[in-house]
Amino acid sequence: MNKKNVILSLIFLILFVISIFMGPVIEINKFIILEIRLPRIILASLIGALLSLAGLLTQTLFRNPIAEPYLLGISAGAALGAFISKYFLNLFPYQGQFFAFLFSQLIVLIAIFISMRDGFLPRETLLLAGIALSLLASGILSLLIFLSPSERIKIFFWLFGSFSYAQWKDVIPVTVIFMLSVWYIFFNSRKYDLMLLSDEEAITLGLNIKKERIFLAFFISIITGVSVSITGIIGFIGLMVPHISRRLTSSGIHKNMIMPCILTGAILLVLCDDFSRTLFNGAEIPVGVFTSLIGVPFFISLLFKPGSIS
Amino acid sequence: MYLLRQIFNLFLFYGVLFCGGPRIISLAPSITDFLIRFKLEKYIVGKTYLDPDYINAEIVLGSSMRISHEKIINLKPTHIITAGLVPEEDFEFIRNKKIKIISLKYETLLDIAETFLILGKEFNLQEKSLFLLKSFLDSLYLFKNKKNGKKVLYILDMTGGIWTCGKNTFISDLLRWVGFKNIGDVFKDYKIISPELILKEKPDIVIFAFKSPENYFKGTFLEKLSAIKKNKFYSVPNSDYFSRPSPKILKALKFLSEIN
Repeated sequence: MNKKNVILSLIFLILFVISIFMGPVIEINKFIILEIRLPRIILASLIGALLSLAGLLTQTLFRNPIAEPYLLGISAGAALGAFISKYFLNLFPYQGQFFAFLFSQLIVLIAIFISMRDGFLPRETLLLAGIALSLLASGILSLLIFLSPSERIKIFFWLFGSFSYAQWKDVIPVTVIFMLSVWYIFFNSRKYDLMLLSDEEAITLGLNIKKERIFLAFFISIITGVSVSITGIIGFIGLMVPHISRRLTSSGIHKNMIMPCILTGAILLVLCDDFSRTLFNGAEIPVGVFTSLIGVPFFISLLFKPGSIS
Repeated sequence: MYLLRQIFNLFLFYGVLFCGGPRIISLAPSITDFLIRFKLEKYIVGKTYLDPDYINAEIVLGSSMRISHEKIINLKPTHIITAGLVPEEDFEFIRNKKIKIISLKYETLLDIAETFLILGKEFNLQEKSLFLLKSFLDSLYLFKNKKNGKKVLYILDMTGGIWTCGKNTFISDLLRWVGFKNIGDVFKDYKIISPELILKEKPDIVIFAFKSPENYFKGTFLEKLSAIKKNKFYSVPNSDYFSRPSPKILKALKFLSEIN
């Protein structure tokens, strides 16, 4: 483990411990710490890490440093699914999460299907299809919100994500998905390095670009879909963290970027969630508000720094 | 003297009617409720999309929460009555058309009582307004402090967190009136309350503003609350009773006072 990763790990551990003892209830309450704060902090760390990895892979998929996982239409699809399930159906518990995941995957599936050309998945077409379907889903969502105005404020808050309901039963499946994802990315990291080259170069170096690009698009949609369906839409982590990691590692090699991505994503989301649950004395602010507040200035600073986006 | 005053009021009221009567646009369902109490519903020419179908009027305020300016001009109203749902630019439009606009604001239960007087004066129905006011206040005081300071958590919604109402909200006023202690009163208005705060406060009763709450709290930390374990949770029979500051709140108070 290199020095930067050790420092990031230490920062994460310190933040983790501080977060456990931070909250609107000052007294040490065993139940609150074990059943409310601990699963929440662990979930925030895992989702932060997953979204960062999804961001890194999306930028690889599109060979574009300003791409983020939500470009594929995942967030708009998940929001639409959650809204439809909440206000039009009443079938079973956790149906919101289920429909959010289902719709997010459906949108990506349609985007891949309409972008395919003779078994090949062109990046630009996939990107445009993702954006178009995202706009379509947002349009349908806007129409539904328009037709049920009393619900608009509620869905607005879902759109900014929250860890209010985090509990152990969420942590376990997300941990499994996280570990499998890290293993999968690590195992395929060389392929992802090759995907950053032009298609001709990648094929010459033995990469089955047709297959790998489809697999990667599905993989991104699954890890992002899981995150969004559990916590709602948390923006900018997937965009910011890969950039921070690149700067930390001074390298674009995926194997070197996995750890910084995981740690930076976890640190950033745990920190934002600490703000969201402690700043307003017992009232919670959606965590996405803070990631956006940090993310937008960062994104703008990227636009002004020569060579940052290339 | 009393009889003369009654005859005078009737004369004034029916005088307006024979001259065509008032043409009222109600821009809030709570106002429509008041107008029904005054038996003025037949003079409502414009209503909101939330008003009942039997009010034979054009929908002026649709689900977009924007007023149709064209309909306002077409309906030629004598009065437009609002209750805080109208954006400032719509107010400006109405003022420019020289239409009488009555803007009511209710934040407390007593503001509802005052509305009887305001509407009674506006439509020359003072006697009726006093009668309605008296019967409203009599009913209101039937429910005063029925509960013994029990802690209550009122959950409006569970999207993105537990939404509750703070001390300056109308719902909190209802809870306090019947004698509950609203744990959301640490806030001023509607907020997402921290799960930690709920667990610390240990509410005796949980009230959900929606149907089938079991489907929503199942698997969440709310199940750990003793109020939930002891089945001390309730679902409001009709959320309109709690969301519309109108005479219908008596039904909300009745519901609250019957909670054990």
